[in-house]
Amino acid sequence: MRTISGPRNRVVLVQLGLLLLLGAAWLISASTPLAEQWPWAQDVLPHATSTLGHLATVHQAWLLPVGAVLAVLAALLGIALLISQVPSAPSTRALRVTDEQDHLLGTVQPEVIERALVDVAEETAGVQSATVRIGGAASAPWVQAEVAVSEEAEAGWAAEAVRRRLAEDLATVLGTSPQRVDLLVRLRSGGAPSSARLDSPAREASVPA
Amino acid sequence: MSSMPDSLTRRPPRTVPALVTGIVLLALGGLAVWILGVRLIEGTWPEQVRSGIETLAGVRMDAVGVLVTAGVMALLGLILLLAAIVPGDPTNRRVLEDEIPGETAVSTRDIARRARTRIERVDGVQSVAARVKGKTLDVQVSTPIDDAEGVRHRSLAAADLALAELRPTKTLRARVRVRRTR
Repeated sequence: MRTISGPRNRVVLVQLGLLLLLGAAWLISASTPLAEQWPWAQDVLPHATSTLGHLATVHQAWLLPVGAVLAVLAALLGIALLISQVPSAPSTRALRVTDEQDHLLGTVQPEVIERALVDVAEETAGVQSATVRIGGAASAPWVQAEVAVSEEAEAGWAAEAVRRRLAEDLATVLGTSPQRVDLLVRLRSGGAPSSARLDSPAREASVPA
Repeated sequence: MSSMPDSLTRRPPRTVPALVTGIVLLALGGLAVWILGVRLIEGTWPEQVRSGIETLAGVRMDAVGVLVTAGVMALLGLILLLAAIVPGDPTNRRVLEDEIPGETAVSTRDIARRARTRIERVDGVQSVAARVKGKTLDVQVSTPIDDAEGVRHRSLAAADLALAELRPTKTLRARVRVRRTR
């Protein structure tokens, strides 16, 4: 299942929020007698009588290049923030099956097991469709699945049955119980599937042209 | 990318404030790169913004405009901080806990819709609106009959049954309000 990093977004929002508050406090300090009360801070605090042009002239040597660098950084941060809103899935790689001496016996592509587990999930009564994703190592796999269950079906029973089958079948294939089996249940109206196939492929093939 | 999947019942990722912030940063950063780039390379401000910059250069630091700008910046800063700190309701709720490690989750929208479907079958109910907010399943029932209290009891029982079947891990209490229609 694809997700967006919430903690990363929160960190960026907190930092920008604090920067804006600091900038606002600096601007407001010009209208207060803060510079007179704190003589040691006179160099960094603005004076009420100063103009923006005067401040720019005084700090001309560094203000323009630093401003240009900050502008580039702001644009890059904006691009990075926009790109990070594209949902990403946790990385998966081929599962390496080893014996007790840690000798490689073979590798299994996760997609192969995922397809089999989708079939298993969709065989459960009440389940209309399913998607399965597995990851981790062969010795410590995890499963994340999403099933659409008919509202009319016993959703609780169906969800428990799917989770149990996923855990058991993965344990049978890899010889290890999964670290976690996550299941997102979507309740869908209408009990019947949208399409049905009556003829088997073998029977179709036997029909003369 | 992490190798472990995120929890299904995580808090909202703040996509909207992050998107808006990203767009604003890109726009302002791009504008500043252009203005300062022209100034650094050609030694003069771009023609399109020259008069505006000259006006800004003459503004005193205690001018009303500067104070208003500071106020707007403070307000935006507070909004960003609140957007990051206030946890918000998770979109999915953990249900049907059992001995298998991991979690089963259902979206709050699906929980509300399931309750609504069940309550719509209750005798005397004309229409139903339901939504999950915090620890409450809030149900608004419209009925044309006089026995509103009876309708409320039956609707509450149907909502409780719909919730009980899903066994939410954290308490979710149904609250039913009945409105009489003519």
